[in-house]
Amino acid sequence: MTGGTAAVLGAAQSAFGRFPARRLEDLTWDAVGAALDLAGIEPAQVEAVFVGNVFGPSGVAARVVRAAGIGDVPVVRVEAACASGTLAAHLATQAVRRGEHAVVLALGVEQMSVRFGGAIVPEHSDPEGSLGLPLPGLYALQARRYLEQYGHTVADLAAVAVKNRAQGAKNPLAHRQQEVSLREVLDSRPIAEPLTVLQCCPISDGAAAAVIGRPRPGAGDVLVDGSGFVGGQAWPGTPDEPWGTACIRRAGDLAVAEAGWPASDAEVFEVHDAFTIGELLTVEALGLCEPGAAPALLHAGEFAAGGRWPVNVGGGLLARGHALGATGIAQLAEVCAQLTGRAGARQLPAPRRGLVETMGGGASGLDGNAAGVIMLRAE
Amino acid sequence: MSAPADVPATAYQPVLAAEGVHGSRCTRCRRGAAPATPRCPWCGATAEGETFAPSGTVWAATVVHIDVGARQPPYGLAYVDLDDGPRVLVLLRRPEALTGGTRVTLAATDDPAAWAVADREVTP
Repeated sequence: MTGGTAAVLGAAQSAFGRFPARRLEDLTWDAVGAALDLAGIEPAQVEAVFVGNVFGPSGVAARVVRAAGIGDVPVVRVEAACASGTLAAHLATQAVRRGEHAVVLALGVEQMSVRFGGAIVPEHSDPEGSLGLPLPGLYALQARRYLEQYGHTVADLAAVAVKNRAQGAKNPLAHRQQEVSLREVLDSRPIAEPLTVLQCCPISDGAAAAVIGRPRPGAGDVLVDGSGFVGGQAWPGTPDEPWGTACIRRAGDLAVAEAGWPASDAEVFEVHDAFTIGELLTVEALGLCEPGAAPALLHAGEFAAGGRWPVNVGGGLLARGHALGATGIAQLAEVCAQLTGRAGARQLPAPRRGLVETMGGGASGLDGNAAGVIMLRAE
Repeated sequence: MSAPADVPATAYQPVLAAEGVHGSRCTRCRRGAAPATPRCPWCGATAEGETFAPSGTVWAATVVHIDVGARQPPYGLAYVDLDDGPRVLVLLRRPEALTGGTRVTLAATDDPAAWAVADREVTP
């Protein structure tokens, strides 16, 4: 760790869902207001803002920050696909550690409903995108490879959705708050084989905010022990792994080296389950188990709320929804809520350490655009 | 695909010509890329033009069932490891999720948004 320490003083999300008629400024305030309240910080104390956003128009970051009553401070918008919010939190943490600022706001905002009617339209100037490979298609190819390589079945993937949707049913801010059965997941309409629609996250509108600053002893802040953020490397790599795996591992390795404790010490995880296969590949990339071993642990309940490594107890992207730029900070808010005993019906007994992982997906010839891992510890 | 005006989708894709798939090969680590890159994405050394055989092995394949552009679903896409060449994404002639390891041959197509189509290899 370079320089001083940093902590999450307060973090919160707005409701995630389809809100085409809501102003993004108002959605943002739902998150920022709640985060500032938890932190006991006034807007005027915020010294800089990092905003994760993917599809918003030019000027969107400045507009939402103005509406939050935050004045003349640097506002930096960052884009790393699905990991944009995680990147904003990473940069805010670094700024505090380097002593540049005492209080920084990491913000994620996205209003997908005004951009896309259904799935995200793949990027035309990307070789894969131009050929018609949507994001679920990219994950479907990894899923197909994974199932063939280890002899797993689609039901092994679908079980991830069943688990996370059950948690979403306990999250009043989640986009999808209904449980689903294994049969419903398997029988839902196909998107890209072997992924069915209930194995894909909903595309959401929403905002999330984290106030990051110097830890205040006794204030119940959540310490950021490690924060790793990496860009993609050429894919396929050596060894030849599914897309994303090596990128996540590199981010995790950086965070672990900084934190000084292994990912397996975390007692609550929020990881990037935009598609069911993502959760399985991620827990393996983080080193919780050997490649191909995640389904056995999943079926044994080890990734459920009562298991050894509860994963996506907030519902994950599959239930909470995926408001791209806001997702990473919503994940952070969930882990912080768990570590501070504020997770309501989803509260785990008394976790002390947590981990956030976000994968920024979909660039041709790379193992990801980017990935971020943030490791947190209750004070 | 939100096609910006007049740039065809194939402008961003590998090129299949009579002699094979146009791409590049690293002068140091010998890895191939298609479309061509001026430097090697893996090691950073200079890359030079190379033509790869239009045949290879499926790494993984899927069938897409949603409408993401002009192409009517369902359609198949596969990552194919070209013989002694790079991994490329190819449209499948038939919407069939070929299993990994299946041998395929690439051919020209009249699909305006695809640089080639792949078929199961016909063994003589």
